[in-house]
Amino acid sequence: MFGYVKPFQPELKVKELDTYKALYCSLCKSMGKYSGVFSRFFLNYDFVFLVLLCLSLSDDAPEFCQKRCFVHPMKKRSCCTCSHSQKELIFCSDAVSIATYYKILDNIEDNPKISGIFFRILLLFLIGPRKKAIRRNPELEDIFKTAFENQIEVENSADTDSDKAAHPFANALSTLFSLISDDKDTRTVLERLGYLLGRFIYLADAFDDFEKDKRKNNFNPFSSMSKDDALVFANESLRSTVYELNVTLDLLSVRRYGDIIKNILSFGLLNTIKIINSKKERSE
Amino acid sequence: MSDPYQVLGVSRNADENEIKTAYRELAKKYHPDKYADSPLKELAEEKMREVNAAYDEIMKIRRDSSKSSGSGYSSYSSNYQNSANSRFADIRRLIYQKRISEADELLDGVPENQRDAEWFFLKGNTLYSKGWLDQAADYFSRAVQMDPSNFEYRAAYNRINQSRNFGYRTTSSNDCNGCDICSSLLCADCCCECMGGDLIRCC
Repeated sequence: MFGYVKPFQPELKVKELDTYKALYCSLCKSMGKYSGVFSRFFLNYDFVFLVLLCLSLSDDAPEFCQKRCFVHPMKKRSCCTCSHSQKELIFCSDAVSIATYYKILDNIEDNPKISGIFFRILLLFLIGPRKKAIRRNPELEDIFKTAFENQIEVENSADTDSDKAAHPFANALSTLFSLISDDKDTRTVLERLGYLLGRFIYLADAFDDFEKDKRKNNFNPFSSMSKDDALVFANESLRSTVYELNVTLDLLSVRRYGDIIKNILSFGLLNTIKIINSKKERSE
Repeated sequence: MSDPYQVLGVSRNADENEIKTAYRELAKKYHPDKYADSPLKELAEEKMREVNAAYDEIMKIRRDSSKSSGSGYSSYSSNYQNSANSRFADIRRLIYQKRISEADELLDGVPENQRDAEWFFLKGNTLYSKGWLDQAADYFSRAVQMDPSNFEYRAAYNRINQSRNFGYRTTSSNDCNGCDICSSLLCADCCCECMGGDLIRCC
């Protein structure tokens, strides 16, 4: 379900790309520092967006420094672990640990056989990070646990359409995003932004897995349609979600990184849709 | 009040054109039409008011200091009145107050044979507020089917329908080919001739 929220690089300025990369490294570093070395392998782009959003609203601007890391031992890279952005980075690392934990649990539900064993082994690596995360941010555990349970319930009920199916995860991100700010107006915007982004991620994932789910007889919100209908409908559904995200983003007053966020939510998400579409065309 | 120049995002010594461009840009950004059924409507309206006030103030300051008359832009206003004598006035009020789940409950309580176009429109509205965009599109389209003449339903339907094609390269509606140019010229010529002049001498 991860990796759908990325910037569209051709439309980024070089300095914006540098910032984005630096934030990526920052999150990776702080995951290693606060959640254990293994948790770093679960890093992905969606959570870099969370970091971006948190820091775009924080009072103090993050400060960057050059550090070495074992993935890129040759060259020092910018990151901001040592500065006052610590609180935000720990929050995001914890979100990675907990969200990924439940994501893998969900995979185990869907793949009971051999690949299920693989996911079970993966899960072992997340037990430690998740425990640490719960100690620091217990509300995160509530959010994703509820979403996981509601998701199972929704997928087992008979009359599930795309809106209902996307609701648990969308709701989870809505609550997660609302934790970022204390300001009332900003929270209202963040809640809708989170809801729509969660909806996008869920539906994009469902659209991406459409054929696989049909073959394996797993739940998929589009499975009641024929392939052609699903293609049109999923596209429309995703596109209207992206449109609403952009309309909502216009109301968010950020302190910095506004252009990068705009890039991700407009070009980036549209590009994600395009990639999924072209994958489908190629497989035909 | 905050600095009007900051609200528009222009420097203090920006010229009038820059200010107008910035104002137009922001007015487009917070335009009430974009947020008509959205739960963020009030926030957008407030931002719009701020922008309007800032623009008016800057224009006032400038007019006072130099006597060059800045043609005052008529600022966008948001006059979205709900139809007063509606069957579902109480539900409309709940939606307006963002009490979406209560409105939803009341709507679900309406027996099926009494569900008219307005019911479908309002249901679409609550769904849209929740972020259930697919069902909302469905309900809006049914409202339009049942009452094609209603402007309010059609506006909501058109908006959500357009959003469903977001990001596709839209074919420009003002396609202009040779044929169009010729026929336009002929028309213009006819008009001119009516008034006693002539645009194309040979015909």
